[in-house]
Amino acid sequence: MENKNKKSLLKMRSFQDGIFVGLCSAGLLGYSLYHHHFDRNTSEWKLSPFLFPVLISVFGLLLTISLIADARREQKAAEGADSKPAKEKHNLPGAFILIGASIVYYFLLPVIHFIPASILYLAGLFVYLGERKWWKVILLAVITTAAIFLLFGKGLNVRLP
Amino acid sequence: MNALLGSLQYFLNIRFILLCGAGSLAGLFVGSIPGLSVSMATALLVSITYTWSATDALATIMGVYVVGVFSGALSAILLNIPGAPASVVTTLDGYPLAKRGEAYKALKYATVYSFVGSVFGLVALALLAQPITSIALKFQPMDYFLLALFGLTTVGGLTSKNFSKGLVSAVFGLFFAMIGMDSVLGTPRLTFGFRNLNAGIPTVPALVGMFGFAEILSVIFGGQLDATVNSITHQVVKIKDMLKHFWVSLYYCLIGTFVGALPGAGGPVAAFLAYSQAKSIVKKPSRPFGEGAVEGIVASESANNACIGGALIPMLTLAVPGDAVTAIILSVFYVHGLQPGPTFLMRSADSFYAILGGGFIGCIFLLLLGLLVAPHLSKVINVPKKVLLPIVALLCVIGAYACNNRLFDVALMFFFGILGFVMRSRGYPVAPMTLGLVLGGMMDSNFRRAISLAASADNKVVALFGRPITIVLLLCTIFSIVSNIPAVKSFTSKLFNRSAKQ
Amino acid sequence: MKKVVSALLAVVMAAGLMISASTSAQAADYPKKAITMIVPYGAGGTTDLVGRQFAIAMEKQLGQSIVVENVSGASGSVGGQSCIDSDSDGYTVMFTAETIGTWRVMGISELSYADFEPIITVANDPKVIVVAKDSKYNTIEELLEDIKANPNKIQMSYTGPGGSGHVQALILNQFGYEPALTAYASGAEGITAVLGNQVVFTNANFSTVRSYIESGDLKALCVCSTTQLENYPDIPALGSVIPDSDYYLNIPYNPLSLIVKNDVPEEIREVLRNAALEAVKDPDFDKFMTENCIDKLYEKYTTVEDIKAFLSGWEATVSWLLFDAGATINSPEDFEIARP
Repeated sequence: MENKNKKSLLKMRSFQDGIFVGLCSAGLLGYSLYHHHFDRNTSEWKLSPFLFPVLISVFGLLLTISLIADARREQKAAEGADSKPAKEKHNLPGAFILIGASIVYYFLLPVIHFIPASILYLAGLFVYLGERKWWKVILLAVITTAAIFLLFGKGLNVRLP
Repeated sequence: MNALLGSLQYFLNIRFILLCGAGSLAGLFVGSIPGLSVSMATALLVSITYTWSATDALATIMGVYVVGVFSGALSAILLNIPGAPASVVTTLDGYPLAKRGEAYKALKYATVYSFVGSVFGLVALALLAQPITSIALKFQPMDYFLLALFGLTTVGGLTSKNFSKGLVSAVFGLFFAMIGMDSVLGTPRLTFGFRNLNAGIPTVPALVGMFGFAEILSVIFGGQLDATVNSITHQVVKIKDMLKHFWVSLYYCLIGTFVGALPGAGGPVAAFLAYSQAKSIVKKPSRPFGEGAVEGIVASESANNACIGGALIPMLTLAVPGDAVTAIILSVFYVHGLQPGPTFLMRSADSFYAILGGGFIGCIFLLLLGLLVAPHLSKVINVPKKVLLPIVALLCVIGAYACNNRLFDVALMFFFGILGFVMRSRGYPVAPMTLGLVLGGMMDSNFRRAISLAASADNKVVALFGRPITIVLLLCTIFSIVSNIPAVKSFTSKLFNRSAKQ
Repeated sequence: MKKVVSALLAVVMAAGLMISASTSAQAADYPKKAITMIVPYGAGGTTDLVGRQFAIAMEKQLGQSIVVENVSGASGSVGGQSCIDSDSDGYTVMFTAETIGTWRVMGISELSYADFEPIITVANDPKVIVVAKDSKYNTIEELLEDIKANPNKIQMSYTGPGGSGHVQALILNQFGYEPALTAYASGAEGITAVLGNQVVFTNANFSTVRSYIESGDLKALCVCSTTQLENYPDIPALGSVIPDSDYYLNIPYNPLSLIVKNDVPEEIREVLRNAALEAVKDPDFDKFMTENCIDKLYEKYTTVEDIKAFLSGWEATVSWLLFDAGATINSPEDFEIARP
């Protein structure tokens, strides 16, 4: 450790991303080569469906190098400057709640149909996002769902879930 | 010239104008709702116009087409959700402008330059359909592949400060485009046994997820719920300021029309290329690109609307549709017994004039509706986030579902939403990924075609790269990549600095 | 394309409901709503073109709208699968070209003609060999000689393995002609490849190239059949150029048929069949067929038994042709297809 401020390469985001991209590309390359040889009895590359994926994986591997080079450069740039970027306030649980709610909605849709499920989904999100007046929540949820149902479902004949 | 004059007769036909107006309204409405795209709007219309006369049907459909392409910009600017891939570029500068409370200005620019683009494309269709067709025919599979590749490399440099991050995003887009049955042999690729994946990743759900749902996630994640947007300043947009960009916009229109005429490339490539041109031409944008430069909106909107005329050219002269919408219009033609092909422009001149007439009247409706509706629509941004976000989330679900009527697409939409969110939070732009997704299939088949064609030639390298168009495109692509390599960048900037000092 | 159709469907269904409420119920009660016709290829190809015309003629007979849905992909097997996945109530029919017969040997799908019941075999679009207008070949003999002299050098565009263009190329192979094949996504793109001089020639469906031949953009060198076209007597037949090729050229290689899932009730198939037999007599449809020089196969195979015999014979001939050329994944024997 010549410099205390020197960040470990492993903690650099570009480096992590580079490794991730590299692994994905290598996976794609392996997948393509494997399937090219074992799926079809023709072994001509000129018609193979896996020709282009191989090319993509080559692009990916080149980019891996580029990302790792970025990480090296950032690392050098970060030597000397020891200021840590100010941490922003994040609301990770919030994002998870939205995703969770959406997953619940997704599985409710086929069971209780579009209108009730959408009203529940909307109402739930309104409440979570800080709307406290219950009549407003219900009114908004019902009106939006009804409007969408009438406008799209009936008016434009868009298929609704 | 005859074609232009011939189309004028429809300006006196009240029935024609009314139908076109009805189509325009429908296009505006459907196109501006996130997830419901122009192709959807035309598709809806085809069902209604099935039994009409050909002229009536064409009037309505052209209204939908012209206004629908424009109205994709509305949701792109106001909500950061492009209605169709072609509007992706509009979000880059439109949404930052809207966030500053200048949505009105952004919408006005989008309207005016969409109008310019549409008119330009249609005039080109009227006057130059044959020459453009013969140029488009000169493009070989390798050229299509390189054009798409060039588009992707420019995007890498455009949308992100870090070139490789942009490219990584594009490569992931290509990767997702590979999922599903391949178009030539029908071999399932990367589906891992999921039959739902056989048809591939549909563009619209992915787009809605990556922009719409990801945006909602980022807002909640960033805790920006209460951050109110600067209230809308109804500043007067001076006509002089507005028209300042007119001449340069004609250049974007040219790009748009031509790229539109190449089947498969279409709106998104045109918009991205025009945007990259704008970045190098316009030395002093009103704001830096990507932070709300009206020049960016001008480039994107004039190019993607100019694509309309362009995309109609190969459809009419070769029966090969230039994009998803023209593919639907093509089936309308067949339903009405019209057969596009080399003799269409001469033989079915009436229908050709009706298309042009419908297009031009649609342009006028575009201008009227855009200018009338924009001030009202721009208030959307003032709706409190806690009310707006759930509604947008619901619209995302509907948009994803409606395009194929599969619940599976909704799941895909959520997946791409989360992916887009993760990518954004790590500094990866999502725009290149959408382009990669849209172009992947076409790049794949054209690349294989090029290899297959070259395999039978004596000199394979010449067969692959030996034509002027190919060489130019190849050089452009290489230049675009090399000039963005950090070492080269610092070297050239040193070189310039030194020469500046001397 | 699916969304087009879904939208279409919804509209016609609504309309259909209204109509059926007003008219008196028919004896069989079928059809009482709109019928979906799946065309497993893209818009604008021959199958789509003939299918849409046929749908219009059928509509007049059935008194219900028929909504054409293009479900393209993977030699038509994506559309075939979606037909199999639909309800067996007769409200989903499929208008398809011949590729069903080759799906199994090509390893594209498990489905075959056995999974469907034919209603009627409508048409066969003649295959023609076309070159660009500035091509150095003016007669089929010149082209064939050059192919023979330069095997795997003369480029031909086709629509992918197992498609009718591929079968045509294999027939040429039987007689020692080896063109270099490149696959395109659709027949229309294969034609643009010829127009743009990417490839030397293609083997196209006549109805899709008729307007190019008339405008002079393409030169038709021959009809891939034993007889010439009635309306175009100056285009020679391939059978007269290659001796002893009658066995291969006599078969209609592009038979377009209307089929349904094989568990659709007998009565419904009967209704469809009667409507189809009337529909082919429709003057507009007849005019369309004659103008485009499309073979009227419904005159050749008049009963369901004829059609079935024809289709299974077709399946056997083409499957073995593909197998012998080494183009297949599976052997026809695996599916108990006897060598003809």
